[in-house]
Amino acid sequence: MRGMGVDMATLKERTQIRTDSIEGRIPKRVFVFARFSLEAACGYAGVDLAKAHYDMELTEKAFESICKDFYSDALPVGNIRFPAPYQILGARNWVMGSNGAVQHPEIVTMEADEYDEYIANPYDAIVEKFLPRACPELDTDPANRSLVLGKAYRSFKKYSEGTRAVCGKLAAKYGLVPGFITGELIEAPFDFLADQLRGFKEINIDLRRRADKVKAACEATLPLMLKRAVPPVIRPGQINYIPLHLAPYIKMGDFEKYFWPTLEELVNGMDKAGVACTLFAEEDWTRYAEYLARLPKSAILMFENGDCAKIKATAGKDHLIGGFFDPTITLTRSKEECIDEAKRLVDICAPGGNFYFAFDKGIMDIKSVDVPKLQAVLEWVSVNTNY
Amino acid sequence: MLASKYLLDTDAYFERHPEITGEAKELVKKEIEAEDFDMFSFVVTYVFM
Amino acid sequence: MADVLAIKQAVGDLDEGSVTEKLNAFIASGPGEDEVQAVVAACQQGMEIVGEKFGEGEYFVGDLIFAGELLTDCIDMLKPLLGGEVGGSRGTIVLGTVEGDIHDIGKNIFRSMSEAAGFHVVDLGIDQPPSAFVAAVEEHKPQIVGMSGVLTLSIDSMKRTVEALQEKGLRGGVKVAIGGNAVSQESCQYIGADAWSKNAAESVKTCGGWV
Repeated sequence: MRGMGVDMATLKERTQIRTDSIEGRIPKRVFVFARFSLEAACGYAGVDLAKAHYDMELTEKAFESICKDFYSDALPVGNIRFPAPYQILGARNWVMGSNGAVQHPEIVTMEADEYDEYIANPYDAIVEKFLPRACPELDTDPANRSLVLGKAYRSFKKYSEGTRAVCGKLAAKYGLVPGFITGELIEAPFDFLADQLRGFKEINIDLRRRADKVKAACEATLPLMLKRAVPPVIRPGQINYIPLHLAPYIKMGDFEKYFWPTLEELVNGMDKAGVACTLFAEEDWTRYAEYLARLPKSAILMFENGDCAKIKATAGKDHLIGGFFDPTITLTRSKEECIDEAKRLVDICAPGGNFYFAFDKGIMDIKSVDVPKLQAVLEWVSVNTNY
Repeated sequence: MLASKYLLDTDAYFERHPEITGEAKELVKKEIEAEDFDMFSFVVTYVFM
Repeated sequence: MADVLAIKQAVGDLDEGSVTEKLNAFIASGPGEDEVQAVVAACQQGMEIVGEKFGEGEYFVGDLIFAGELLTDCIDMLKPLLGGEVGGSRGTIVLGTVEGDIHDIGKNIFRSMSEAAGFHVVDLGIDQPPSAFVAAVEEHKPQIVGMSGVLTLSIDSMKRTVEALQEKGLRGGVKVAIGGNAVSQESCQYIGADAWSKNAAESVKTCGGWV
């Protein structure tokens, strides 16, 4: 039973499998990287999510229930969206839904006629104009503003360090290794522009009405992202995380001209500085797989949907890939059918190495899966994928 | 190099504080640059991503 | 006299410049209400072209979003020339993003397209519990209930909403359509909906077939 003392042999094996996977060697077996959010963990453990958001002991209780009952080589839990700092800021861009999940509603903080000032100096424009729009508690006199930012920052530190400590404790207790997200959260410049500045709707209109501004804004954003991606002290084995958002929703021509160039430069810039990254290709990136194939080998790839065979043959040739497995199929299919689906994925993607097993995305709601069947799938992968 | 009036200019800081010298200067430099980066990260990443 | 076919095509091509030019010329010609309704219908049919191109993989969601914006602009230009609402007589749709989910873009695109197609839409907004859908169905007696959701947690919320309608004896009187990133054939069956789509224009067509 897991948790009854750390099995050093298992920990050593996991570490080796992880290292072999990252370094492009064929590992002993397929690395399992399950991911559950705090919301899912609370639902599973019967912990009140609204309270767990503010209480590290409850967070630990929820997280531990996942570590104990679901097979994973990597620590399958983590959290970065704490409501407290956002509430101190009065944030409009990260809010709690009625069920306690912290989500990002559609928001416009930069107007169409403000592209030029953003392009001229993005960080200044953010600090002066767009940040107080996103966080109205900052839209006040300088004295109050500095106090609010101070409080929010302290709150953020408290929860992120507290969560890191809980995760470290559980990893040690259950002999789990890190996954492939260990560094800084950054975005493709186009996504940075789209997500919190212009919004999903407006950026798509911008692509038709002011595409030249979009291009210039992405280029202005690149140094901002690069600075973010390469800290003054790089941690050994640092793997940054880039969730990719807008590409599946735009046409190829727009991707080639506006989305891709600055993303490619960003990944290359990190690689040159000695920093790896994991790109989470949300939705379906099959049509863009050949672009991903061009990225440096230090880029690990994670996929939500898509043609896994095509992706394996292109992006998966020289890159570590994983994902595709939709855990919600456990609600409608039998245990055997779910395992068959995992097997199908493994048979296509594992040969030759460069593959890890992961869900299509982190599980946000435990009710979106059938727990015993999901447990069975993870167990199956852990014992049936030896090379 | 990202230019901004809201990012720490370390040289300018030490010009304003010539009393900090020697080994102490190295320690202070490391500290203020780390915190500047952290605050930049907080604003750019946590709030805006 | 408006060239309705040209307007329909320009809308379908998402050629904003051409659409604006044609509509401005049309409005300047002092048209009667029947002619205006014909142009509204042309814009709507242009949306069907958009839906087809999306289904064929020529257009993507970003294009649907722009289409929604273009359509809203067209209707705003034409509304002052009409006595009352743009359509509203084809039927009523109660629409909302389900509980726990705060995404609304897809829902809003569907709303503007179905209003342009002649439906009266009661938009409940985001993060709506089953009780809100039940209350709206009791009050407005719609033909159709539309549920939107992007996150996987919306699957459970959609199922509970359908169950709530069943409990109140309302399920038999409505058609249920689900949309958004979270939906699929499998989830549609699990939820107990009548139709699913990730294509707002396709959903509008399905609703048209039901009334």
